[in-house]
This record gives sequence, C-alpha cells and structure tokens, in this order.
Amino acid sequence: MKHVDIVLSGVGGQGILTLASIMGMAAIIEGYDTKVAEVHGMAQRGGSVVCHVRIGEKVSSPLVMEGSADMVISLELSETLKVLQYLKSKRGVVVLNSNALPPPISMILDFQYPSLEAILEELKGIAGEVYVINAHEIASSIGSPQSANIVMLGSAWATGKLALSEESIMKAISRTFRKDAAKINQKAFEEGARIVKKLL
Amino acid sequence: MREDREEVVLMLGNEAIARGAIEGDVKVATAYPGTPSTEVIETLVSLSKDYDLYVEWSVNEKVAFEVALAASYCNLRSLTAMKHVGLNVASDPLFTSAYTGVRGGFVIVSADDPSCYSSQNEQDNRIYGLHAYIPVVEPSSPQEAKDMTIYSLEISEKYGAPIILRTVTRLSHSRGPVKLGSVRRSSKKAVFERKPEKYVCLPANARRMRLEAIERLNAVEKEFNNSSFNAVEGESKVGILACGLAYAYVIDALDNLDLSYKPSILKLSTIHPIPKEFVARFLEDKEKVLVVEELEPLVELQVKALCHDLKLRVRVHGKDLIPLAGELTPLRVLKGLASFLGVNVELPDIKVKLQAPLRPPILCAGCPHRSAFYAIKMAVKKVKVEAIYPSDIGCYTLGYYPPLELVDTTICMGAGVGLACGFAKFTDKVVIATVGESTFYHACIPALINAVFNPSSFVLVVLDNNFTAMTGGQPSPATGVNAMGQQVKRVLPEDIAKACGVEFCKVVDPYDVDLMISSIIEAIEHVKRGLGPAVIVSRRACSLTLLRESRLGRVKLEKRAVETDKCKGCMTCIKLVGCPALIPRAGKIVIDENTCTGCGLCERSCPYKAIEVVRS
Ligand SMILES: Cc1ncc(C[n+]2csc(CCOP(=O)(O)OP(=O)(O)O)c2C)c(N)n1
Repeated sequence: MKHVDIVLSGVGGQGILTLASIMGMAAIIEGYDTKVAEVHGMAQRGGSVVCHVRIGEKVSSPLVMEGSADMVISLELSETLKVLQYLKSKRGVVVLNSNALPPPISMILDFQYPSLEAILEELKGIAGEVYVINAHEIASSIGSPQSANIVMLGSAWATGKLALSEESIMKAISRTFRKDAAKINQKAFEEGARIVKKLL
Repeated sequence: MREDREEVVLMLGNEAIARGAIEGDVKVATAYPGTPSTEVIETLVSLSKDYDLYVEWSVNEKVAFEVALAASYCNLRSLTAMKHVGLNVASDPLFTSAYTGVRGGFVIVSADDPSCYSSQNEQDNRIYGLHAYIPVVEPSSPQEAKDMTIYSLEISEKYGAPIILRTVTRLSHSRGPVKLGSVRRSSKKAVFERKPEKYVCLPANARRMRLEAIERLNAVEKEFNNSSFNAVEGESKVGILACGLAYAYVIDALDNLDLSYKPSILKLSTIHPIPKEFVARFLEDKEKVLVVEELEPLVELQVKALCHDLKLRVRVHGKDLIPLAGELTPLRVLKGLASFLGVNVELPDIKVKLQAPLRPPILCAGCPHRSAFYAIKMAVKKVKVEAIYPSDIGCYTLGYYPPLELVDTTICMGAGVGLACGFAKFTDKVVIATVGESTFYHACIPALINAVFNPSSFVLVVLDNNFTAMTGGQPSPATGVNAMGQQVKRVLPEDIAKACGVEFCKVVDPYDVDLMISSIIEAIEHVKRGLGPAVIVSRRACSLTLLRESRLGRVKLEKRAVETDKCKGCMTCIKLVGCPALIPRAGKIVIDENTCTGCGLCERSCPYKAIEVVRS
C-alpha cells in the first residue's frame, strides 16, 4: 500500500473533525504516517466542512489531490456532491449518510434540494462502489444520535478499504471519548460496520 | 499533550507550536484570538498550570505583542501568536522591536490564511520580515512546527533578534505525527536591566539601532546557511526550490509524474534572510529552477536577484507557473511542475452536474445577534428611514446573508465605528453600526471618542455576547474571567461609552425584541437630531453558552415547538428569521429541541400562531 486517501464532507456540528482525528490516531497506532487536514473557524458555523485524511508509509501533503481519493465519506446527503472531484474516477468508494439537512438559505432562495435518487444517479458514472447508510437512524436506535459520525466510520471501515484494523480504531475511539461515551461510540462503530457487512 | 516522555502523538500544527513553546522553555505566551492561530494559545492555556507558564488573551494584538516583548526584555522566553491581519495591528511595535532587539528568545507566530478561509484578505506576512528586518522561518509539517518553534527561540536569543514563525491555515489546522522531545523548564525569573540607550528609540538612539538591526540580520543569515531545516535532495541540472508547506505538495506532485530522472529539490525553511551561500551552491550547476512558495514571490525575487549578482545563467521560474492568489494544493503544484518540466499529465476530469445547495456559515440557533438584527430591521421599517449599515468582524458579520442583510461594510476590526464616523458626516442617511464587544475593546474605542471629538451622529449597537465567539468563545474583558482562570473586574461597554462622552447609552436584552425595537427607534431619533453618537449595548450571552448552562440546569430556556395542525408550511419563519433550528419536514416545520434557545423570533414571525412555548 502506498497511500489510502480519504475525503470527508458534511456540515459543521456533525462531528466530522472528531471522525477525521480518530482515523489519524488509528493510523499512528497502526504504525503508519498520516496527515489530517481540518477546517476551523467560519466554516464551522453550520457551513460546509471538508476534511482530508491520508494514511500511508510516508505522507507529505495534508491535502488529497483531486482524482485520487480512494474513498469519500459524507455525513450529509447533498454535501457528497461537493467533494466528488477528489474521487478516483470509477474506482473510488462513496459512503454516504442518507440524512438530509437542507440549509435554511436554500429555502429562502427557493433552491431545490437534490433527492437521494438524483444523487445516486449522478454517482453512477463517477464512483466505483456506493454505500448508502442511514446513520442518523442507526445512531438514534442505540440511543446516541450524535454518534452518526462513528456509525459512518464503522461502515467505511467495513468496506475493507481503510487499511486500518478494527482494533486500532477501537483504541482511538476509547482515547477520544470519556468512558461511557467511548462505549456507546464503539457500539456505533459496530452497528455501522454490521450494515455494510450485510450488504457485502 | 501533557506527556513528558518521548513518543509519537497526533498533533495539530498549532498544538505542535504550543508543544515547542513548552519544550523550548517559553514562560510568557500572549495572543488575541484569530483563526487560524487560536489553538496555539488555547493549548497553552490548558497547560499553563502544569508548566508555570503565564498565558493571556490580550485586548488586541498590539497589546499582546508588547506584553510578550516586555517578558523578553526581562530575559524570559516569550511567544505571541496572531492571525496574519493581527500583525497589522501589532506592526508598530514589530518594526521597532527589531531596532531594540530582544533578550529572552521572542517568537512571533504569524498564521496566514491563503484562500481566506476565515479572513478578510490573504496577505503574506513573510514580507513583514523583509520590511521590518526580522528573520522569518516557515515549517513544512506539524513535526517541524514544533521543532522550529524551539529553533526560533534559540536563534532569537542567540542573536537578540525577534523572529517570525510563519504558518498557514493548512499547517496550523492539519494533524500529523509529532515525536515529542524532552521538556526542560528553567526556573528563570523576570529581570529588567534599565538601559534606556537600548530601549528608548529617540532619534539619536534609533539611528544606531538601525545599524545594529542590519548587523543582527547579517549574523542570522550566516547561521541560516548551516540550518538543519534546509536540505538539498538529489542531483540534477533541474532544480525545485520549495518553501514551507509547498515542499509537501512538491513531493506529492513528483510522485504523480512519470519522470525518467529526479529533479534536485531544495527545501527552504529559513525564508528571510535567505541563506545566500547555501542557496547559491544549489543554483550554481542548475539550468533551470522553479521556486514554489505560497502567495507572494518573496523567495523567487531574492533568488532572481542572487542569480543576477552572481552572474548565474540559471533560468528562474516561480509565479509564472505557480498561482499567486489562493492556497496551493497538490493539483495546482502538479500543473505548475508539469509545465516547468515540460511533461504531460493526465488531469482528473470528474464533472459533477447536479448542484448541491449553498451552505454558507450562519448564525447559530437562538443567536442573540439574530434577535438584535431582526429588531434593527423592524425599527428601520417602522420609522421608514433609509439607513447605511457599517459592521465589523465577528459572528455578527454573518448578518450579511439573507434574510438579515444588515451588513454593508466589513473591512477590519474597528472599522465599523471609524466608517460610521465618516458615513454619518458625509451622507444624509441614518447610520446604524454593529460591532461585537470583543471588537469594541480591540479597536473601536478611539473611533467612538472621535465621534464625540469630531461630532458625528450614528447609532452604534454593541453586540455584547460576553465572549469572543467567532474564534471559539475565548473570554473578553466583559466576561469577568481571564485566560488564567482568574476572576477579574468586568469592563462594560456602556461604562466606556459614557466615559467617552456618549450621551445616549442604553443596555437592552435582545430577546426582549419589543424593547429592542423601541430603543433603536429612540436612538435613531437622537442621531437624526444630530445629538452625537447613540450607543445601545445589546446584552445576552452567546447561545452556545446558553445551551450549555441549560444542560447543566443553571438556566431555564423557553424552548418553542410547532403545533403541527396549525402549521400551514408557508415557511415564513424560515424566510424572515432563518434560524437553523427551524427544520422543514414533510412540508411543515419542526423545531430542533436540542438547539432551540427560546429566543422567540419564530413565534413572532408565524402568521398562523402555530409556534408556542413548550410547557414541560
Ligand atoms: C486584527 C484581527 N484580529 C483577530 C481577528 C479574528 N477575529 C475575527 S472575529 C473575532 C471575534 C470578535 O468577537 P466579538 O466582536 O465579540 O464578536 P462575536 O464573534 O462574539 O459575535 C476575531 C477575534 C481579525 N479578523 N482581525
């Protein structure tokens, strides 16, 4: 393996930075080099958030080059569209949360929020594999709606493309959260993984 | 962060700088918050107790700079961190600190923001080094960010020169593995030796000091010739000179090119003064060289001058192939490299036709700024005046977006009031300026005094949410605590306004929308009669604080809910208020109970009275 390049997208407040840093931490536990590029400040006030995670023997740039991401993980439905240019054409994997959060401004400006069907249609010519995860529902079902980000991590991991072991991710989760929260998030990870394993 | 052992930790660039400060025996660290620099001091705040470190959030960058400079004059190592535009505010002491020189190592962390992710411009602060006779270094990874912080402290102390450590958003906010070094804290105490001839920049002294500053810079250049942070890789007649983070992109871009040979790379981390001998040795046998640096062609111009002076025949490229504006990315560098090397690359060609909705940052649910803006809008509508809305920099700048649209100007911190002075004088419109309380202390007070001194009548709404919210909720002078966790006297904007000679001054809770509207109308009448500035302090804590307090059971919020039967799905609430707690679902509205703080604006706006207070 040279690199695994991952681009994450979503909306401020969805826990995307936590997700990215867990992946980076797990990479270090595994003995890899890594870089995680985050967005702070303005972009966090409910705006679009994009993070890049790179894992490999030697990683220089914190940014993934367009056309070279092995995977896109999107925590919000329509935000998927904003990072597809990073995907390896027809080979990259897309793991998307079907939860839609239409921004108020699109209502004010009468913008039609794209449907899941339209997005899947768009992905047909672009992505290699697509996984649609109802992460919000899964996380709510285990009593922790704010763990949707970790559900998505479980699903992404279960595709087998992350180059990280379950063990190191679990370790990174337990270092990130306090005791009870760590437990529920490990459960979220497992649930996310289970859904994808069922599909495979 | 607290580990003293040698180990590898995933760290943000800014955390790495903070760690470098700890390992490098920094005793005083100061800042005014500003993205992308904030986490440097935030990290140090969390470590101050463990390492006998004084940390402060200063009132502005100039003060932060001066407090840290005083520590250095007292032979303590110190660090001040600011976003790029912060150094404009601190530029006055910056220039003259190069004249006096320093004693304890003194590092100025300048966090630049290429692509303006959270800023009003993308200036390249390396140029300050050239202009002010101050050395500049630029790390290329979180590991180097830590190591070069220590290096900078040592160089600064050894040569008595203040030094700029330049980082950029993409480094400050990227995580990478950092191998920790050992922490050796000295027990130094501040000692100031009175030496007026060294610290008083009277003209007679200043003329001498300028010569000393030039000498210091020359000495640092010699040191930089041997810096281990500069390195040459490979041998070839084709060279690439990469500065700071650009080096990382160059490595990646080369990986993506199918070349029959390896160009020689000079990684340059000491940007100013450029180590001429070292760079000349690299240039000597080259046919062509590409300089890759973020923003301005600072190194490129110096390399070109060097080639000219040494009569080298090497062709030097730079900003002809690498973009001048905007952040560098692996792809942008790849394109530049490909044309420099004369090779073809297959560029990624994914085209996405389907459009995602725009998602600009917005004011949080229940943000008191939204209530204040809403009231201003209603007041202006009621009295039917035409108004101009100078504003400033903070969360409230987001009042620019629909449906509020009450931000006409945003230039730099403090300009809201300075421009208001001018607009009110030179136009016949009513001027209503909005500034946050942290911004008010930072740079608005002189402009407010000016409005009394050179009479100018405008309404100034000071949006006092008790914190410096935009940058993550640091304490402001209004808060009553400081970075060290001390309980301190609150400095209130209304007291300052009155002391400045302002005669109309009211404090209003923006959640009391009716009172807010009537107060603004009164203020408008006051300024229409030319009676001088009218100040309204809109006081209500940041809604993020409100939510936290309510979760802890300290305050009770009057959260709202929609009665589904009454909701006609007209979306008027979203269109008038635009609060993110209002969520369209199945053609109607639901209110997110997790984020609603009970400001009540949606209830006011609903034509069908479908929104009510939740009774528990
Ligand atoms: C000179 C300068 N320093 C720092 C910043 C970064 N900055 C932008 S907004 C802001 C906070 C302003 O706080 P306040 O005025 O209280 O408004 P709030 O965000 O709390 O609404 C800061 C520090 C800047 N833009 N310019």
